[in-house]
Amino acid sequence: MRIGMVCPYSFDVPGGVQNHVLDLSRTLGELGVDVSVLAPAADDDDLPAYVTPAGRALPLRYNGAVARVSFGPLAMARTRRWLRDGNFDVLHVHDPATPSVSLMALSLASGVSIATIHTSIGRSRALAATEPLLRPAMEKLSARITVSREAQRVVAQYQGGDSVIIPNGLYVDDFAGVERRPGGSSAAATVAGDRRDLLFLGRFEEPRKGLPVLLEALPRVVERFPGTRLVVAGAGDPKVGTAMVPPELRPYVEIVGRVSDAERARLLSEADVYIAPNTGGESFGIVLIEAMAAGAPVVASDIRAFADVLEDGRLGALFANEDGGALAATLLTVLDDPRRESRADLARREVKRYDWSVVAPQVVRVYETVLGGGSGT
Amino acid sequence: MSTLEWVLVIGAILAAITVALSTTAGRLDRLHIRLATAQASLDRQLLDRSTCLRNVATGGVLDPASALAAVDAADAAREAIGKAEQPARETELSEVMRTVFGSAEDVDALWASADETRAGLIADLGDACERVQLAHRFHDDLVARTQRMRRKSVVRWARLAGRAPWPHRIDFDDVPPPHLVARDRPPVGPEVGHAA
Repeated sequence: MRIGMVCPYSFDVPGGVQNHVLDLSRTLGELGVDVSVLAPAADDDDLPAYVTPAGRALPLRYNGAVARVSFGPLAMARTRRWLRDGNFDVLHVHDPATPSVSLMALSLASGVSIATIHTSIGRSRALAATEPLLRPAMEKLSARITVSREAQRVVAQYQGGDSVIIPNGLYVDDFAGVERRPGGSSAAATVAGDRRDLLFLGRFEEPRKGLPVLLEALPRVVERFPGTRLVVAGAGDPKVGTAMVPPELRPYVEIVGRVSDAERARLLSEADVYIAPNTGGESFGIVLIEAMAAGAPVVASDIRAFADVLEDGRLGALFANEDGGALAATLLTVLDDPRRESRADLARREVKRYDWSVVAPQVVRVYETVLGGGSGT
Repeated sequence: MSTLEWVLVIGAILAAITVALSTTAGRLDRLHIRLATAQASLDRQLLDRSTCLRNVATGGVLDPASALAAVDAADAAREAIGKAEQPARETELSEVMRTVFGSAEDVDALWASADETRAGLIADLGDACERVQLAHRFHDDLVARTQRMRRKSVVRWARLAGRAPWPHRIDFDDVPPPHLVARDRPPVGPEVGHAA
């Protein structure tokens, strides 16, 4: 089975969709599926052998962030050639409503096509003008996969119809393999009794990632636990990050900038609580799954995508979105609760179903179904 | 000289100073008015450019991804008119346009394949891009002239500018895609009347 997979965002900036496409392609390859990936990239970029570059990416303001995408005649010519040479059984595009190569491939495709929709933001603005541009391409889709109930709801609302949910995958063992040593249970902390390590992950400069909400909640936590330490890790300028923190809180906050996957796993293993105060625009929240896989107790805003992943509070604590006071109250409850580690342990077992060994075969079954065959192909 | 002569001389000098000051004030005032007009004209041309780009994008001239990128950039630019982020959005719009239309050969191919209606849309966009460049140039020229006038000692000492804000250039990239503006096109021009 030959699959042509299209990622609309450039790999030079890491992101949920990019990681998903690379990991899914690698796992499918291990399952014996022949995958070729098309993505925005320059010819001299360092890319896996199965990735075809579609031309230099251009930053485009989109979905509350800046996406690096490809469009224009050059990308169109590359896409056309990749489709012709690839001779794919199934074309699998990601986020086809983004102005990039996914939409181009879909508009050129003549065979069986499916899409995975990651974004949770409906194109409400200017919908009347852009809908006719998208419709001819969207009508070619034989099946649509959404990554969460939230994404499914958005697709139903803006494009109509139904979609199957296949969650984003994770190599769970990458995070589960690190031994758990939270700062609050270290020897020094047992003596002092007030040491608590908090962790924030993500592009902290983007307001929708919610760092301001967390900073609003921090004074009350610091008052109760003077040994509190908040680590902020994610892509962005540490100077800008420091400027976001009020001077009186700076002794408690450490901005470390972008970290590697291994480093992220270590930070999670050392955190007493991982906090996801994102205010919206999330369709899935892979980082919550990572935190759970690493065994870190999770406190997250109650946006739909997060409430779904945390099963409405069974696997982690939720607080009222954008409410610093509610976050402070929830954090204090969790930090005072000796059972937080046992709840995190339950979550650690539950996230095994997001492992690629479970998720990738579900995608293969979608391919088999749209090709009208069984498992014998 | 008699007292009367002294009075007459001093009166004449005072009158000359008054006339000079009021003339300078008048010139400065007219510069400010022309600057305000140039600002309004630039905004109108920018609005027109984004509208023309939108028409091209929704008129079936571009592939869907490029069209979508163009509509998004045009809407973002339109929302930013008169705001602090206006220069950044207009620069992004110019970059998106150059990517969407591609090289000179790509644009030539577009002209050759467009029917009369579509060629009209593209020509309108080319004209709008050219007018943006002109309005931008005129605006910044008036800013420079007004600044020079306001730096003069007499203007500063006599506070002739009153409370008018210090004028600033608007720095943004206004370079259109190659071969889109009429003056850049090969003399043959689009073949009008042939459906693609």
